[in-house]
Amino acid sequence: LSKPVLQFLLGRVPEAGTGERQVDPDRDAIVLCTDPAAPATVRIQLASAVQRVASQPPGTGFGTELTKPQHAALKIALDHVRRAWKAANQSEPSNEDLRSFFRTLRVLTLDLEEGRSDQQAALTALHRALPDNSRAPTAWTVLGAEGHASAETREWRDRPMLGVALSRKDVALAAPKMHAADVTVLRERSAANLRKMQAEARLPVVAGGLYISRSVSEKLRTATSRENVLIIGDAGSGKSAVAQDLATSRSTEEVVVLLARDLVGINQLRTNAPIQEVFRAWAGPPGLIAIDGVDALRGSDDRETLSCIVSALAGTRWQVVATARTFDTRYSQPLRRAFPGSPLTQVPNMFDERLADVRHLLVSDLTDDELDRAITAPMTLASVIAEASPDLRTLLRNPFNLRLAADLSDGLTSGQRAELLQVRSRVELLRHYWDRRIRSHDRLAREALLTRLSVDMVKRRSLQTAEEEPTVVGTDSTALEDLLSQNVLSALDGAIQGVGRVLAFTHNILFDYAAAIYVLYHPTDLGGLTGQLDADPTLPLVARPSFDLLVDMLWDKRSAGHFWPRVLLVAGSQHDLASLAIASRIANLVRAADDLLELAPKSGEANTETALLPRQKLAGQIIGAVRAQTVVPSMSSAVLPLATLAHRLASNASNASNASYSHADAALAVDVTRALQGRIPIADEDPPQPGRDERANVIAALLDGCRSDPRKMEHIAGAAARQLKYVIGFSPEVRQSVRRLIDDQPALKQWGGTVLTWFPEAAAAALNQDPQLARILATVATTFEEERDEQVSFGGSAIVGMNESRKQQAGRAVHELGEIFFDFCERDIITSTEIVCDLLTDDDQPPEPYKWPITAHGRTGYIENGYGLSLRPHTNEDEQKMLTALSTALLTASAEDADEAVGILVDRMHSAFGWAALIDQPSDPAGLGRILFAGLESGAMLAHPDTFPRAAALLVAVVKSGGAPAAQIEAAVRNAIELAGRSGAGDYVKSVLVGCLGNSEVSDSELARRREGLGDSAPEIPTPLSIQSDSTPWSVVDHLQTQGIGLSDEVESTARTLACAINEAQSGSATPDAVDGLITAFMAATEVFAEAQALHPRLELLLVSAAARLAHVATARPDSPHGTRVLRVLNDAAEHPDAGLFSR
Amino acid sequence: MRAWIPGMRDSAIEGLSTLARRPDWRCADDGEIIRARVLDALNDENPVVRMNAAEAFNALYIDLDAADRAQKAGDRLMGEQDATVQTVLLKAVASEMDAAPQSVDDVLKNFITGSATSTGAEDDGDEQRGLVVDVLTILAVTKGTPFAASSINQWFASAPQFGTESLRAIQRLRNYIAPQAEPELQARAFELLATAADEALVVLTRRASEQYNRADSSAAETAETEDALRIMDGIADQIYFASGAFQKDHGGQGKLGPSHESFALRAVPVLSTCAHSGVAMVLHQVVETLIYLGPLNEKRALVAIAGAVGDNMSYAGESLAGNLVIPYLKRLLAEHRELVLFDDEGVAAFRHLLSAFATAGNESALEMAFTFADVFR
Repeated sequence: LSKPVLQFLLGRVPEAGTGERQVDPDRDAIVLCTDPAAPATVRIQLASAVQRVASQPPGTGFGTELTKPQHAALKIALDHVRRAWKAANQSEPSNEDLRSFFRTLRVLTLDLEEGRSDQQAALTALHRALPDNSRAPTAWTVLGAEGHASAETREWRDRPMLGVALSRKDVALAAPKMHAADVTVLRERSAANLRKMQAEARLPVVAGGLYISRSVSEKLRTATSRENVLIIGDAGSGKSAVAQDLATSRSTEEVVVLLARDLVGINQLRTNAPIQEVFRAWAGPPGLIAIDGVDALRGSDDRETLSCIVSALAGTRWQVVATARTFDTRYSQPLRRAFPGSPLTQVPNMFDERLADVRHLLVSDLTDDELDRAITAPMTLASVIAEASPDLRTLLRNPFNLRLAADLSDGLTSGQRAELLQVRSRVELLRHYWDRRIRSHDRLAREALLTRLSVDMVKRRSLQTAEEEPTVVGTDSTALEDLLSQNVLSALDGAIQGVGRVLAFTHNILFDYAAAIYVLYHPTDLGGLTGQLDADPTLPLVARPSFDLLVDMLWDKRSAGHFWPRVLLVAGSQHDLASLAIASRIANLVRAADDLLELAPKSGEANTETALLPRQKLAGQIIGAVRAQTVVPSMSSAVLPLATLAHRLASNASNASNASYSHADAALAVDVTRALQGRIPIADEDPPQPGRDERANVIAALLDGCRSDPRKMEHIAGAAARQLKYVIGFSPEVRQSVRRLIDDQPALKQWGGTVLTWFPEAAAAALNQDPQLARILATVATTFEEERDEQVSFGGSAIVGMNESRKQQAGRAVHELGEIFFDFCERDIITSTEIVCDLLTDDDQPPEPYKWPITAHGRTGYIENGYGLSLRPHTNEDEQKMLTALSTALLTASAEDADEAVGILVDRMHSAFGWAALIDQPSDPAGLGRILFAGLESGAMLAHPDTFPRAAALLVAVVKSGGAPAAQIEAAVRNAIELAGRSGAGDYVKSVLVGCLGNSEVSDSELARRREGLGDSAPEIPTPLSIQSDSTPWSVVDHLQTQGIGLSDEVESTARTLACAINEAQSGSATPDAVDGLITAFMAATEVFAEAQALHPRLELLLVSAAARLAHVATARPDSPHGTRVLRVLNDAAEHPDAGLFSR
Repeated sequence: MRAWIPGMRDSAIEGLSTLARRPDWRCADDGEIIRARVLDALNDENPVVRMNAAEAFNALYIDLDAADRAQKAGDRLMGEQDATVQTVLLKAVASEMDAAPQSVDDVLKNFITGSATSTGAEDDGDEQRGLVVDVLTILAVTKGTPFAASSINQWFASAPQFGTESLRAIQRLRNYIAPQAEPELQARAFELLATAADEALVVLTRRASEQYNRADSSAAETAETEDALRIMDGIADQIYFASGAFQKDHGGQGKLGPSHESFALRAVPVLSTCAHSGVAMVLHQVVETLIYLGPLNEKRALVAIAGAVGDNMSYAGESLAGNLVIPYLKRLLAEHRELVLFDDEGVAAFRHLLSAFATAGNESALEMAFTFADVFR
């Protein structure tokens, strides 16, 4: 009985809405279940006693009206229950508490063995819930197992969960009676929806329509997982058709097809119970719920509700498949939450990479294959497709366009057919459609009605409008019915069937076209569009597709002067969003080189530096559009016109020959090149990309133009220089402009690191075509002396304002060159060597230039004097990196190139640091030794303090590998010894050098004598000199010792320990060990110092400091030994004449 | 605080001063000896000794009531010449702020109006001034004592001229503007911030217009302009941190509670003033805070953000700004369509922001402008 008591007191029952509640005797039962084998006391007496006590009114004494056996059974039960209650609740239960408990308790005796009475009764009861009675025994087994499992895991099972468990064993449940009416409503709506969707999915090209089977539909049909899926795609892509395809294919299971508006919103289906409750209760084998048009839901609450419905069906038999537009899915969190998971497939064009966390399937345009397989002879449309131009064919892959074409192809005359084949764009297709379906009869009346409908829809931001005055008037009857029968418009029932029809275009794109021609276009008024925008500035957002269609139509008529004046008027207005919309479309339309030249500077044009001209604004907006891939998906056609425009803009950057030179035009030119580079990087390929040379010419023109006003144009010059690396390789014009720039000292001096930073990369790009220029660029960049210390922006963010000095900015060029120098050396070791020499050359000749002479390959030079420390870690790291790169490249260079490079080094590199870095830790010492041997032979490298150990190591490697004739090796050592002797080096250096010869036979008698003198103990090559340091904590003892004050060992040791303990216990987070250490050291010090003769005042102060620190320690209490001693030390010092002083 | 080289006597007093502050030592047999030593040290000729002794000032006079103790510390403060010792005594006075606000106010008034040049002020002045400002700010906001209130009012009413004091006080006000603060204190603190922001904006606006007329400006004018900017930055900073936006940005809870509404009502106008500085750094914190507070009243936040960003193309061109504002606009579009599609003010604000960021070349804004019409499909 203790378990029922615990359940009664502490148990929680799950409840919809609140989550859970306490056990309620009026609603819940706790069952004490047993079988016929249990004693009668329990089965009969206790069951009766509990039932009777529970039924008696409050205040009735326990035992009243019970039989003796019942009383006995109750007494035993009460003892158990009271004990369990007290243990669980820490209090004695009252009689009424116990009565409440007994009202909840049921004592059941069940005879459930196979074929026994209770089991048979259960099977009979199951018959009522199962449509197939023969499944009752299986259902019984499943329910038993579920009950067992839930008891073990202490979980709850509700009806839907049991339904799912039963369905796994192919046991279907009858629809619950209480929801039967709702299920009927759902089934009826589903059937109607599916019929409608099936009809709409058919193309009117053959009798009865043609359904195009698509691979994306097949992907969904054949998916094995039954996870929820969101079908996404743009308007007109055929999402609904894919959803109906799946619904139709699942004919063997329960399928419910709903529109999203059936589930939420004012027109939702009226059911007795909440719809998710109906679905949860509607158990059975796996089923499908298809929800079309989720994007039609506008309110966030509606979406949230829909999301909740989908989430509530998790774990039931229902797989939910819904359709929504990509745009909505991307931005709606509730929608994304409702369909978690990974995309259904990774097949290109069937998933959106921005929705990696959404279980979705993307519906794109039809493939060529799908189109060809579906549209076949003798369909009229098939012959149109067969002869269609690539543009038209691409157009027809969109299901909406295909439907238009199918509509148009019905009963085509040969002239109309020829016209249709000329179609290249959607606007042309729409114009043909309009001519055939709208303008063919009663044109004025139909267009007047469509104008009013469009204006009203735009005004109300709705794609539907009520069929009422003043939008629709009585005289519209004929026109309206014609447009409805032509399938241009559709009429829907309002909230009440048959009353207040709602009109809409049959497709959104028809509305877009209508809005473009009836709302946005003003044939006789250039400023009409601007006026329209003044009245409704949000039009560019809400009617954006109509803007696109309008721009398309006007663009086709640009040669007649209908385009640019209109769009420049908009650009000059405050309607930036409208202008952006136009710019975006222009970026998609341009093809020819001169397509954008209307935006180029005009001669005699007034120049203003305070505000952009309309043409400049529009150009800037086109550049912005080009950057965004979503806005301009395909860039290839736009490159040439944009590059041509940029060149014209860049030509306006110079004030030298241009009175109206413009910073704004130059900035736009740079922006164009950057945007193009971001979308279509310049490639050095043959044949060249369209616009490649024009893009290079922009950079050349900018670099030239900016020099006319270096201060004003610095940022533009920097941006242009940044792109040099892309164009300098193939463009002679750019290389010439760079030479002109390098010769322009005032400009270079002004720009400094702003442009120099980009020179190393440009040099690398120019290396193959113009090594001389590459060398100049690298050298100018790395030897530039920046004298200004002013701050310039680093990173360019105003929010996170970071600056760097001009000097730091200029220094980045050396770093950059160091980073790429290996590639440099690999490609052209001679130029690279010259660059290194340029970088390390000092114009001033040292006082003793030929103290360390060096010769090789007919060249003569010298190494500057040094003291062995020129090459150190963390100094001249970039130069070290470059010399390492050069050294590595020498190993793989051809013999001829390597000799030439060494000759140049000997001739020009006098820096001891340079030589040391060149031979520092080579990957192949023997190889490098052989290549540099001509230089080593002079002796200077072997004897010079900066290079001696490294050069000696190279020599040893050469000796061991037999890399040079013995006579030459001896000559090298002999020369080195002589130079070492001249410079005052000791015998040690000479011995090391001789030791380098190893055990090889030596012909030179002097060397032989020296080697003999070494015996078997030739000194090892020393490691190069380096500066090393270490440190130990400074203490008062050290201070005293520096002053020559001696301390006894004991005092010194004690003082050091105390000083150390104070340090360790000083911090606020001193560990207990540190505090204990201080106490111990302090106590020891008080004794040792007391014994010391003439204790130095600094040690007295040390002791007082320790006491002051210990005053903070909690264990230093008045009654503790160390507390007492702390007080004594402090007291004694309190009147000491010595006192501290503030630092200043 | 100045550094000092310790000596024997001051080190000893440092220890004894520590013991004097410990109840177990005060009640011990040697308690009186310790007290006497430290009391003597208050009058020591050496300032380091006096400084260490002053650390125990309140413990030495623990038997007095708070007002008398503050007064006594004040008397000693007036006689003290060393700035560091003064600072320690000021701390002793400040610690009585809750129990004896009027006495502390009186002491500070005497000290500030009567303070002569003190030694070491050049090194310790900042800490001392900061301490005084802190105490006066707290007194002015929480107790409304006369001297503190008039001082704070004066500083904030001419905030750019009292840049140092205003900036310190603005920092101190964070606790009182927080959503959980008492409403009365919060109102007072925001009133002060609003005054300072208004004054700073006046200076910035004046300087901006003068820039067109004069190429040069005096050092004092430049300093005043810089202080005005710092004040704007400081105010935006404190409101941002007080709001909880920081915790949210950094993975913390940062949840909006019921108390945030009154906070937002007061904060939004002040933030809008700060935004008018046009400085990207300030503007960014304003926008971050407004976005964080948005769920309380999306329309209020949207309109305020649009007003804050205005035509500031240099801000709209920042990627950090775009990464903040565009996702916010997307959220509104997905979750608050009524506001951004049909509410006149909401539509205008939304359009303004989208236009600003798209015009500045923000790719996400361009993409959004490009696909916006889809919401009506």
